[in-house]
Amino acid sequence: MSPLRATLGLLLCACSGTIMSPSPSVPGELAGPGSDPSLDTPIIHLPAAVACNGASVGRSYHGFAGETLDANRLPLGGGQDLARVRDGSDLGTQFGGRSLDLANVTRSDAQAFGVAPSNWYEPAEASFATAYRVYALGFEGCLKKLKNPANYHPFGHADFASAPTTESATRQCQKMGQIMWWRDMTPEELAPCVEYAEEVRSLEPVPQRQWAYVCAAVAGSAGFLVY
Amino acid sequence: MRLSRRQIMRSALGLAGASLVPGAALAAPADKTTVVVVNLPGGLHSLYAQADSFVSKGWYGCTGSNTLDVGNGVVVDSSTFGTLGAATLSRMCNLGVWHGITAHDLAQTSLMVDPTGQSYPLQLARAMGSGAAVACANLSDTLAGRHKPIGTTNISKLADSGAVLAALGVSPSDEFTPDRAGAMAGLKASLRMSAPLLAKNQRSLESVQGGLNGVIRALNSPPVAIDWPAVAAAYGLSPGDTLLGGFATQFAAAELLVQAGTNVVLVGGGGPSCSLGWDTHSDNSGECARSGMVDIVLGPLRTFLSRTLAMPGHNVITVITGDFTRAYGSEHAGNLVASVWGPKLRGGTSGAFTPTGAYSSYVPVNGQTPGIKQMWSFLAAAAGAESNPFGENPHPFV
Repeated sequence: MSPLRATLGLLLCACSGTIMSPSPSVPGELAGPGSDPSLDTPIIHLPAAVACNGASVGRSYHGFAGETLDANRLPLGGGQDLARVRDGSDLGTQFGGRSLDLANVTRSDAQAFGVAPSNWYEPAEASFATAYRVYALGFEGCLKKLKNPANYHPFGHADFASAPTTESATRQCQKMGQIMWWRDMTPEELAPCVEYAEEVRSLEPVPQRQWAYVCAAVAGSAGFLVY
Repeated sequence: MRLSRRQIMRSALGLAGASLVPGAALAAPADKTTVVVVNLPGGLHSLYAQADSFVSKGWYGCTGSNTLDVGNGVVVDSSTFGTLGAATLSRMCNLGVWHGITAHDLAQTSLMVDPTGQSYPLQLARAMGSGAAVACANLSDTLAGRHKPIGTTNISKLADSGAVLAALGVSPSDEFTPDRAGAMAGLKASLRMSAPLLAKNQRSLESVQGGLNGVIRALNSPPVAIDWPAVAAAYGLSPGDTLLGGFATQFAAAELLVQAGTNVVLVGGGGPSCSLGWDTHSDNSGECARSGMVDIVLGPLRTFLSRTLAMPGHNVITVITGDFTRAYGSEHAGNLVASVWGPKLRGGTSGAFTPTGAYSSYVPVNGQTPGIKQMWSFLAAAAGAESNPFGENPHPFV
């Protein structure tokens, strides 16, 4: 084996393998390795080093305690996992200003969804509770808008005076997407919205409430919750 | 979300009404088990639970006169765990956890994530069954490690009891509240509309996918009848105190989740002002560790344990952990004493550690080294999990 290959082999060994429990090295009153079988117990298996851009060999970094600093990294495909969950301040802006003019998105709501403190950023996370709260706020805001035809803004259409049909649901789902998601729905996103608008007729007799359910479902979707 | 006085009154009235309706049963079935993990980042001093190990050396101010022998070989510190009450202490056992780690970050991560990268709490929640509307909830801001969902079992990070109450159907409703059937159908539509984005962002949006699945499960379950004003009052809170922060708000929320049948609840954080977190260096008298426990944790913990150990139809197992205990000079020890309480547990100490200087020794359990995995194995056994994903439980208190 050439010196170069041997050196590369040593470097690679240093980048992957197993961290062993620390052994006491101070004599005297210490539990010695012979009396402590746990000292031979592996505590962490290091994953193979993560490589960039399809390279065959990556590089791993260890902390002072021997932990792998890049253990959480995963190889990701191009364009994948770019979306992030909106935090409380952003959702408050979305609800309170642009979309639904909801006055009751409170400071505590914003905190419940997570607000990044100054000079630090902890990515927001959704949960069953925040998913329900966004949906419920969406329902409330939409219904308050749709109860009075004079307030159909920002949706602005007489479709809301009667129960959804396939045609009106197609039109209004797309419009709701443009308002709350800031973009057009794709056909894969539009179809379930229209299906639900048709389904909701059997769940709720009042047209404005039917539309509020549809509107809330758009608000409760990833298109609204993430950026 | 803050609840107004009027909303709270209506909630209480709704609860009273529900109790009059035949069949309006609590969502939680009989003997529903919940494991509550209380984690103190920085360290968990074993003087609280195993004070006798320090008495002969006189460390941390432990003497024969300020310790309390509660039977079953458990000797606690009088001023801290000794105040939990006889009934609670009779259901307490201590597990030695020899992990050999003296670095904070690695200890915190290793307590919660196994060597293959799988989340211990999620493995436990999954092993406990899929019937719960909420499999695993994290109420703290200090959970270490990445907790990748296992199938549909994920961790719900919660920050507000008000949002939990609303999702569980406890909050009062008005004309602007969606009914549960409509909301469930609507959120199913939301999930279908979200599918293309979720497929393209499986990791960064896993909490969105888990949240939508979780709320659909919650809405598909019967509404939970919880007297939230009474729960809040028990922890010294007003019903409007729903934002999670200190241990009182976390334990009150944990009680909600217990009543909702949650499998695993994670609580933690804090730390005394005399140290950084619970990392009580140079605390040779043990006073910093004692004052932190008394001032920050003990009151809400005492309330939670006394209420949940006596809760009919529930088997609530509470464990308190931390990075490690303290060696000589209040330095980091490479091991931990985790205390566990449960209504069906026998008291005792297993895998007790012996302070021997800068390092500590331990007592093998059934010939095994009691480690982190064995602690989780004990919790799974105590929870009566259908299968134990952590191997055989060596600790003899179930």
